[in-house]
Amino acid sequence: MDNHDFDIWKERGYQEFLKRSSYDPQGRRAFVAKQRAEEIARTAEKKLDTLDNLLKRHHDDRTIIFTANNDFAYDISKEFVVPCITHQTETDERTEILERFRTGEYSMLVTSQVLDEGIDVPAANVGIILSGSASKRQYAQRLGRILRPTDDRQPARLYEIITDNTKEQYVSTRRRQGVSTSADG
Amino acid sequence: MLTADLARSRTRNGTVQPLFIDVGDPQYRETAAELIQIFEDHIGEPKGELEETIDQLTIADTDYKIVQGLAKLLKDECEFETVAAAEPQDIRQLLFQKSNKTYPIVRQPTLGEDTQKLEVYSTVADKLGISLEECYRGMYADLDDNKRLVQFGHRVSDGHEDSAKTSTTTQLTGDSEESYAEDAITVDWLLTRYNLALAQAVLYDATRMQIRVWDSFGTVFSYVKLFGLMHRIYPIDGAGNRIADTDAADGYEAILDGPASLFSKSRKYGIRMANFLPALPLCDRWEMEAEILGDEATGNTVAFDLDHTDDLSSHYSSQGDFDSDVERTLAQKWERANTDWELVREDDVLDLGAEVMIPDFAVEHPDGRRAILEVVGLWTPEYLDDRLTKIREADADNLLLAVSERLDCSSEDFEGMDDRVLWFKSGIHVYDVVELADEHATEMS
Repeated sequence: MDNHDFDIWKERGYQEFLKRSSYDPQGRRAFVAKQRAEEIARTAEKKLDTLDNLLKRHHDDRTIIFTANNDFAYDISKEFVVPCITHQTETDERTEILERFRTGEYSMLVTSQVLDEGIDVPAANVGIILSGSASKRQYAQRLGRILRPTDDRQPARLYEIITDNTKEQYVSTRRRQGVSTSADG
Repeated sequence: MLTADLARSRTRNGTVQPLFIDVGDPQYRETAAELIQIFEDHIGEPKGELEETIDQLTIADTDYKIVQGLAKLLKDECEFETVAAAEPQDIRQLLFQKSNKTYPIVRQPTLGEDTQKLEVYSTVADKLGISLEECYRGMYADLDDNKRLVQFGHRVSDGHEDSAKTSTTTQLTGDSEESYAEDAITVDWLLTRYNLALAQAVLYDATRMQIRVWDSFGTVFSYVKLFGLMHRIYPIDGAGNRIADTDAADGYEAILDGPASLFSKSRKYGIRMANFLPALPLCDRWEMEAEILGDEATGNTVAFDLDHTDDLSSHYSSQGDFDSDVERTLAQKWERANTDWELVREDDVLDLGAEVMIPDFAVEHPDGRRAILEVVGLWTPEYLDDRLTKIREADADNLLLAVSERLDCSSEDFEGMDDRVLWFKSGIHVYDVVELADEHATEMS
């Protein structure tokens, strides 16, 4: 049986791959493998060590850590005992956490994508992106929200931690191209 | 039931057919057995781990949509609960308050002033009087993924009390937990349920259903009423032709129509028909013809036919001993009420000429007077109009209708139109029925 009568690199090849993975057993196996690879790239243990170093450097700052998936946000929340907001967080608790962050009662926050739209995020002077999607708009919005120095002494900083030699490298490059293009134009 | 995305059917020449699976096929039996095993192994474990195991499953080359469908049916038999030694939100708040004073919390200790997370967790655990592990695991125990599988079918996880399930609730959502026959979860049970669920999924888009049954009428029509389906029932002969004489009837035909005007852009009514379907295989001989909305834009429909030769089997109870919420509540209220009138269950078929009605209750007075009460839960103006006309024509003077106001289809249109209609909002009041009975009851013959 020929399961390779489509080319994943051609136009619509990826869509064909996704379609096939729902009913073709081999396609399904490939899909599961791809999900695992992405998961590993996103949550690489190394990233936590890098984050560890950043947090040591910035523990006196006001820091927001961004992740692209909920699981990783919760992992970080547990590992570094940092308040966490995801789309699963109840409104009451989200409001409370943001308010405490605003008043300075909390100095750190980890969140998945929910802060992107419609939520008034208190100012922070350090942003750390642990993994993300290639969306240009989302990235620019995140930057805009982070780049607010809280005092005159220090500039705001944004870090992005990516895993070398994975799809993330490509995604990150493409994303930054997007941002500089829009800044020039 | 299956979610719409897990439905599997094929449409050809204006007919739609679910893609049933062969219950005897070793491949599907292996898949079903493995899935059941996975659920049993995950009793007491977090929901997220169960879902991830299913998500990464590739069994016996079975189409993943079938795997997901089977898993959905098994998940319907599960109960998940937050299991934690203290309120998770309290644990979190204490942890964050404590940690904020002790940052940085580090993985690799340095020579500077830093903290290990263990210190934070143990301080909070002591404060709450719980163990370190309970504190760590309880922190996010309320997340959906972290809820524990506490019950799967009849199997309960250790240390968890079997919660007595309330049976027979009919909600207007059509999502009702009817009285299931008590079954253990086996490979046969699962594969049989799956085929039934595929047929049910086709009915989500049903606009009209016609059924014919030649036995178990009482049970079937109890389910029609339980799911609040608008119905017209006609006596038929052995060949399925309508006949005029109820006494000579071999079976009954029922038309269940879904009013597009009332429920357009909503699957609610189709879901009721889907809920009703498992009642049919309780009969030895039955037929069903449904119209399924094929294309929402054009309103084109396709045909969906099933009968007793399709080898479906039911998990519904064949004991007709259940009531809708409205009926049960009325019966309970009646017991507490102070009236000479008595509420009794009515099983008799009421002849309306070419049609029949199956009323819910009779109200009887010790002096020999009697009235019949029919509860109409779901209706359109056309349906109600039709009912009232038929009832008037049939000279059924002692028939009372209790009609729900809850649906937003202008009860004002009918206000005062018929003095035997009792409008109710959430429940029927005993004394309203008594008042109408006093007016309209007739002597028992």
